[in-house]
Amino acid sequence: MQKHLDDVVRGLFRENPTFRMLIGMCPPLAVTTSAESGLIMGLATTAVLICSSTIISLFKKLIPQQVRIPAYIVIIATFVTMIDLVLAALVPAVHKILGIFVPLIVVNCLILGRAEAFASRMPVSRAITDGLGMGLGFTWALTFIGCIRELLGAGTLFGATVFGDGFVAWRIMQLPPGAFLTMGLIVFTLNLVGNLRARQLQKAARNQMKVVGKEA
Amino acid sequence: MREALKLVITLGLVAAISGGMLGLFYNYTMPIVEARQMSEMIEKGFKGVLPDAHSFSPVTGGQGEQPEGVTEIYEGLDERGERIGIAFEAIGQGFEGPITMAIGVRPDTQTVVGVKILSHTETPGMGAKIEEEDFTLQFQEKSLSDPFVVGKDIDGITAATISSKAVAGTVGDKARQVLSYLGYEVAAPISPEPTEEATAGEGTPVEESGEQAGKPVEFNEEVAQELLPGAAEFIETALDGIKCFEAIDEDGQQVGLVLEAGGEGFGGPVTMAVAVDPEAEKILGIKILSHNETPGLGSRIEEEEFLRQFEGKSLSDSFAIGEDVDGITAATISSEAVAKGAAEKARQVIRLYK
Repeated sequence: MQKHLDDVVRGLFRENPTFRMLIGMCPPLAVTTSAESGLIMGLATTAVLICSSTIISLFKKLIPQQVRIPAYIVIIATFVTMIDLVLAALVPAVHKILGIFVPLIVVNCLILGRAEAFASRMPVSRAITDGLGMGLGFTWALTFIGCIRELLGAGTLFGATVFGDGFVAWRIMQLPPGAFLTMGLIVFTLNLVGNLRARQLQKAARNQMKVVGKEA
Repeated sequence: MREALKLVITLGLVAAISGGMLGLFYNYTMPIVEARQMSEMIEKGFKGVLPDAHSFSPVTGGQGEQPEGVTEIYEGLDERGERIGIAFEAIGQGFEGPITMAIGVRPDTQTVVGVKILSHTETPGMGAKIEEEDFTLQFQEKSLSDPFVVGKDIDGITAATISSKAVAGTVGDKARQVLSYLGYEVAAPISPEPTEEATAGEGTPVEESGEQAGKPVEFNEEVAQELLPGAAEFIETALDGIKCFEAIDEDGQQVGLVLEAGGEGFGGPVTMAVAVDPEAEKILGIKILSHNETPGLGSRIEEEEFLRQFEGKSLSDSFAIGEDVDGITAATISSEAVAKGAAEKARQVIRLYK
């Protein structure tokens, strides 16, 4: 059970696909013009990830090694197309926002990556928790980028006005360059904080060593 | 052999199960999607452009071929079931891609009732403004005998002329085509009068105010020297009436030709000096002599950042904005005037020279 919980938490922070592993970078850059589209894209990807990981984990013994990649791709593409059809039928407004990026989930390397590196080696229950963790990690990352770009690029958050009329929108934030700027600065900040913390830990460890040395 | 068979069977099974699942999902979702699209088209598109209609029904069959770029034609009916107008969906080519719009027309008065943009992929904040009512309302009650030309009877969107033109042109053309397809007689549009800028001639740029456009520079040896600083002497010649300077270096070798070229910009004619290497058929440099483009937008054609990309460019290139020439954002027409104008004249002169 501990392992399952760890799977979820790992995907959220320590091995966040977008901010730490930097895989599946197309949607974080392309669909995060608003918080809402980031959130929906993240959830759609999570659904595909959990479904495909489950199936791949279930049938891992039946799929021969040589044809595993084409088999995974067909399984992933099937789920993506199903989700695309369901979105089109039930929530057309959402489907319209995401447009071409739903079919493109097929080639999101996050999903194939988790299938290859995790689901195909682990029991079904852990494949599900891993998919959930990675998916939610991807979702919050996309939503976070979307929030920043929407807030600065349009002065709104989830469609609600945040800044008053006096605010001049930084239009570039909603254009493609804004995605690169936001992404770059977030990764920069996270790495900076990570490095500082690592250095602090090192220092603490060294001090500890000195103390131990003196005592000896 | 057995191994290979196993692979084939596995993949075949995976594909078959996947196909079956998708078939089921497709059958279940498609009717919902289609029905919704139909009602959405009427609700959001046709009701907006033909508000007086009580109900809509599809029109089938007309004279000849259905006009190209027109996808759906509906007639708007009143309570008694009589036709009061035509609503149709048309597609025009914008700056980034196709623009889909719903257009309502009234055949008896030969007017456009309304226009609504249904989908587009234009640049957010620029071309995307075609959606706004400020732009689309000007088509309301507009007579089909109008020219539908941006800058004449249609106010375009600043920095998005191509998107505006795409909508205006499509509305005018398709409305006339659909009406004549359905058997109505359509008055020909009154062609727009030649604009003042066009009649002003090439040599004298229109200057609205002293500050607006850069000071026109005369095409002379000094300009030629600036473009080809390595040349020692310039000999003025005329090739088929086109004034040129032949550049000669200290050894008497011909190093290039400088010619005057022009193009039709956004605010009026753009003139420039173009230095070419007639042997290599390359452009060596361009200098803008005069223009009347919008300050801050089209006027940026003067900037070195834009002009530098033409240096060393082969004349066999296409000189198309967005392909091998980087246009200035929000000033495609001005950029095009320079690129096309320079390439055309340079090719012509080189042909004559040879």
